[in-house]
Amino acid sequence: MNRKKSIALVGTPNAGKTALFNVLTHSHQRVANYSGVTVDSAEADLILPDGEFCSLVDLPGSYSLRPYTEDEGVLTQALQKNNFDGMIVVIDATQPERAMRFLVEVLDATDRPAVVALNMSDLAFARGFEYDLSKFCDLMGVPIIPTVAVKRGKSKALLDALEHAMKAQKRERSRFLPERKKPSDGKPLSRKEVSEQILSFYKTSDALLKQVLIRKGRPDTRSEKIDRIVLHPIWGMLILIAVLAITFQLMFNLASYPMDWIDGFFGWMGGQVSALALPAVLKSFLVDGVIAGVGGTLVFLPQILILFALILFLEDFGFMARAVFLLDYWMGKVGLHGRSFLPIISSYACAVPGIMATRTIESKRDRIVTTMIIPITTCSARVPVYTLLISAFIPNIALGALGIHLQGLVMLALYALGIVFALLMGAIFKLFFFKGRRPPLLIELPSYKMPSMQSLFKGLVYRAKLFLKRVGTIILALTIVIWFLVSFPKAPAGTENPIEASYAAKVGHVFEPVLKPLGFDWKIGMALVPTFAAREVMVATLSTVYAVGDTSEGSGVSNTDKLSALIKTEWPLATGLSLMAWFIFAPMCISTLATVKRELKSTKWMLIMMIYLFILAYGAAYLTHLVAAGLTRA
Amino acid sequence: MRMVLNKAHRKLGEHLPGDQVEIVGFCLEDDQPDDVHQFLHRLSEVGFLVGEPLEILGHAPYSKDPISVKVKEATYALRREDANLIYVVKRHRE
Repeated sequence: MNRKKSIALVGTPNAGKTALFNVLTHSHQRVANYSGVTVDSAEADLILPDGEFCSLVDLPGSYSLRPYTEDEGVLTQALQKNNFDGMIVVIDATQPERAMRFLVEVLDATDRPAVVALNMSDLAFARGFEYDLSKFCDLMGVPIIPTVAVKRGKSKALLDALEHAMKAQKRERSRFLPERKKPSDGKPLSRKEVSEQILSFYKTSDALLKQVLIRKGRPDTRSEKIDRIVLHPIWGMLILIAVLAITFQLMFNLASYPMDWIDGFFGWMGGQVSALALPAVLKSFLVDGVIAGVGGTLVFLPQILILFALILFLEDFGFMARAVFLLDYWMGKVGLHGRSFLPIISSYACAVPGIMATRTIESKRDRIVTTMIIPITTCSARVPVYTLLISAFIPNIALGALGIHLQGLVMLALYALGIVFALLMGAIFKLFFFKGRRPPLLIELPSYKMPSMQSLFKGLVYRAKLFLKRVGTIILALTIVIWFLVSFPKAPAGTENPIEASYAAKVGHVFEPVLKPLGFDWKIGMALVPTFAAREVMVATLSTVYAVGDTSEGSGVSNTDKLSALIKTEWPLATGLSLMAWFIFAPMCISTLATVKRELKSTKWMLIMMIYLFILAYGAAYLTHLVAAGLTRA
Repeated sequence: MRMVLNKAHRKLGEHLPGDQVEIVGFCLEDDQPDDVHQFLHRLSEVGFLVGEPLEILGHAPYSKDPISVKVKEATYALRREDANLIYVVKRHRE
């Protein structure tokens, strides 16, 4: 059997490469690309016109083959390895100089068969750009196909050309550019030599461009007009605030409907299974272990998808770069970088994609500071914990006539505290670890364009898959382990509190002395242990702990409501508040730590993060408990 | 190697939105930190080359920093401090 051929997809940033990837491929993305932007190489199936299955590898965009950020290094390495069977080069027809400079460098770098997608050809045409395509093809020695990434029909010609080029096997490696100077004594080129080399490369490619570009287009006045509003001193800031407000509004209000359905579905399923004639142990395993655990986590799916849909949309539209522009100065005050914005926003869904998105930050120190504060941003895994604690301990009193309720206000305050402490820690890290000049900023403000809905949808499906995989593996396994610890060994019949006999109780009691000053009992201690693997398991664990402790069957009341009523009677108010304070910092989950270690390639920073968050969480919970307990006693 | 500045030469970061300028050189020194040096290379890679006309499109509200600069068909955001590494001369509008 033949080996499955692989095709590399390369291109300049903002040339519509990822949209083209989504249009060309058919599901089955494999390689993990858990992020708001293409920072790792994604891979998916592509079917050639003759029916052959190939895999298309989406490599990160770059301006040149001299890597500047870490994600661009991926491209250079891939081209050096030269182990793919074909290549699609995506260039932006509305940016002729950049397109040509990138194209000649890539064609010189590899001898693999290649086709060029002259993308955004519709926009280029509308603005009056005119290329001599047949001359362009002859000159470059490769087929050049005008494409519009957001339209599927146009990709047929590109695939035909690709198939044809791959049949022809090897391509003669082009020699457009002057030989790269290689220093003889092993030392890297001097700064001056490198700039001279770049200049000579560009002279060559600009001369080639002159031969094929018949007419230059008009400037992009539409984007300039939009920028006049989006970057306006007053409107710009208002739009930015409105975008954030709408994002969070949708994340909580819109998501609450599907979340109720999911919660209701798992409640119903639990009831159905309880009614089956099964052995009690198996029933308990299915209802209290599997269904409660998986259901308790799956309810976040709507929130995660809504947040990512908005992030992907704003990124494709061109807004994210403008947000960086508007916020860079203020971010700098707390040791962050304008580019920290996207990673931090992503972290409201989950810290893992947020930390991975920091790869787009060029400077190591900005990247470290951003990474270190990301776990304090309120990730969606904390939401169910907050929801549970608030519904149990905060009375739902209406405040004033504006429809503001105390519960909503406390939720907002928890988010606000997360932001305040994140910025404070950023400033502290800047003060103690990184002094001196800020690393330079250079970010493109791309032309605005309407995102392709098809591309957006595929991106979302992919993220949903990753999340479901996590629920089906790590989280399922953890909930089963917890269920076991809580359920065994069985107490003799007639014991008042059967759970006291379990392994879980023993584990919980070990932690009790440390947690007592925070007002946490052993059951909370027990529930905190698995939060190191995944915070959202807290609610599931408490459900399991209390479901097992309470023998009465659920009767139409949703699991969360039942649990909320239970902990309200079991815990004093001070404990509830102290636990909220703990979760603002919530010594992060194992996946976050693993991501930090992998992304920063540093155990030191991972340990610093773990320790500082633990100290903050413990301190905050201790103080909260002290004050709250003092007040409630008085 | 320090560029000798002519009287007409200015730093890019000193300009205001609406100004049209042309690049005459870069502040390239051996004692610059690595990230500054990489930044200068990146600038030339995205099209900031000697002789290239630039237009300052705007700046961020309040702070007036960063600025947005148009070069060829693309727009980039630069901080004023970093833009000062680019020496320019003012162009007269046709």
